[in-house]
Amino acid sequence: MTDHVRRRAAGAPRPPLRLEWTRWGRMTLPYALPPLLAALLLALAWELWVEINNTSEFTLPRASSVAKALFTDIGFFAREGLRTFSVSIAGLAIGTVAALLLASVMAHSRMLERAILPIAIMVKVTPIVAVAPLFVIWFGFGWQPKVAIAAMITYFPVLINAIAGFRDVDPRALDFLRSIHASPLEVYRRLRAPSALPYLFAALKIAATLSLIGAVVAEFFAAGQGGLGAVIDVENRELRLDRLFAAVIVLATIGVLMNTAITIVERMTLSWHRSTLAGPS
Amino acid sequence: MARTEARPIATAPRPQLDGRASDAAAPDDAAIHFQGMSVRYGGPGGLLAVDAVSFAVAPGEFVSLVGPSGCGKTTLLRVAGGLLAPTTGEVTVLGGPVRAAQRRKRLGFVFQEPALLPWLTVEGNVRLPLEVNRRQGQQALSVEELLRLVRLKAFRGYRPHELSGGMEQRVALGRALVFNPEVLLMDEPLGALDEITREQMRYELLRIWSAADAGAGATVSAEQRRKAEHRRKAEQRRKTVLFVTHSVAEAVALSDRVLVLSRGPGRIRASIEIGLPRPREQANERSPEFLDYVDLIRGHLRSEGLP
Repeated sequence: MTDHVRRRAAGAPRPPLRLEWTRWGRMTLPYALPPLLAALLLALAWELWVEINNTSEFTLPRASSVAKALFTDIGFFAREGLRTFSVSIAGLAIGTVAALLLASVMAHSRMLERAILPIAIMVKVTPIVAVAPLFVIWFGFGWQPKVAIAAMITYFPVLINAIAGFRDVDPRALDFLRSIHASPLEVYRRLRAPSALPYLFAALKIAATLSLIGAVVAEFFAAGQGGLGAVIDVENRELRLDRLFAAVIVLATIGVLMNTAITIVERMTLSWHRSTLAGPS
Repeated sequence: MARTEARPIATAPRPQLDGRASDAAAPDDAAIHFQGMSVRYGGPGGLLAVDAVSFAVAPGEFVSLVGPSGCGKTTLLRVAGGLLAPTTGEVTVLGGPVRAAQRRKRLGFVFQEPALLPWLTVEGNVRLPLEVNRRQGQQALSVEELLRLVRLKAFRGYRPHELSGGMEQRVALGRALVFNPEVLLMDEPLGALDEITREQMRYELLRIWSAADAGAGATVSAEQRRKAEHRRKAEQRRKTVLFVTHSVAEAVALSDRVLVLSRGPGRIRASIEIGLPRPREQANERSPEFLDYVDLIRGHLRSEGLP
């Protein structure tokens, strides 16, 4: 036997993940530091820009006054941010589950795909601003219309990617499963679903940010219950731009955190996939 | 190691120069039987890949198919494996329809590419057929036994991307053997390997072929030997193999019989019995008999316009 040579030296069983502080710091710092530094630089440039051009507070507030507005009322922003986050995560969950169910059916039948896809596109192109007031009439003033809007905006990228993922299976592996007389359900479980995972994570990253947009737009329309969308609306009308920007920054932070969380789960789940194995060049 | 076979080994016959096709096995007890089978791709008027091919493979026989690229070798194999329906004609495996043999897990398929599932470990890949459609299938070999047989016990927890090409193909072989099928269909299983690995895998394949029958690998305990003996009695026969290859030397080294196919649409040009003694070893590849067989088959291929 000459082929005892391994391609990668990844043989040893991986040690259990323990969160010692020093190690945790060493693990996360290379990921956390660059974006924080970049954000800091951006804020500095912003501050300088306002300083040099002497821009009015009602056109563009200083980065420092935005930071001040944010931290003097941090409890309020955190609460409203949590509201928006809850709506968006609920919408994302519902939209994703619905899309996965649809895609599972459509991946097995071209006929069903032809029948359902145009309807899915129709729902997709319907402007949210057009249906948002309707949703409020249908679902009331609570969280329901907001979650419905967030779900409506998120299902489409998941649907399209999941269909592609369920179909993008190794034809040789498919041949093998057929040769051992695997049923379509077995093929779905053993081959299609795992094959679709890389597609699914890509779709989730798109859908997560979309769900935040959906939640904010919904909060614009569905008065009451607050949320960052309502905050942005109110502060815009009252010309408190520092607080408006603070809300936007909270929103952006939530988006980045959602994306990071998905990426972490993706890395843990797809340890076998070439995108994880290769990494950036 | 390998069992000696029933066929007389003392008289290694010179290859017959007139090796015309003749069905060696009577149709009734053939393991695989093609009867006037044609395959046409893309409906009427489409490409005729295989043209009215008839031949039978006897139980326990190792038959190789060689021929120019695009001559329908793989097509023949896919029909025998139930992955493709013939356009006309009929194929029976173990005396019944292909689907029945497939359902009862009496067919094992090894492809040119290992086609392992990248998210499963070596063990998970070998175990996969057992977990798919659990209720059906005949008595299976234990995964433990199989991993030893393909010499991957130490690598059971590895993922495919951590293995070499030869190891991946051994996993695929183990996976195909898990139900201890009577018939093995192999589509250039060594084709994707480098030259050196390939030549070694040739004899590795023969070792596994003869050892899988005994149900155990090289080193076994007394208890396992007793079980193996029991199993050997239960199934005296060696596995039937239909093997597609591009390598003439490989075909001669492995086979009891080599079928030469014509340029597409595929027909059988010649059937050559390989009278080399078993067990076979790499050293025999330099013997004059071996080289005669290689020359004979090359001659047939050359007349098909292959260098």
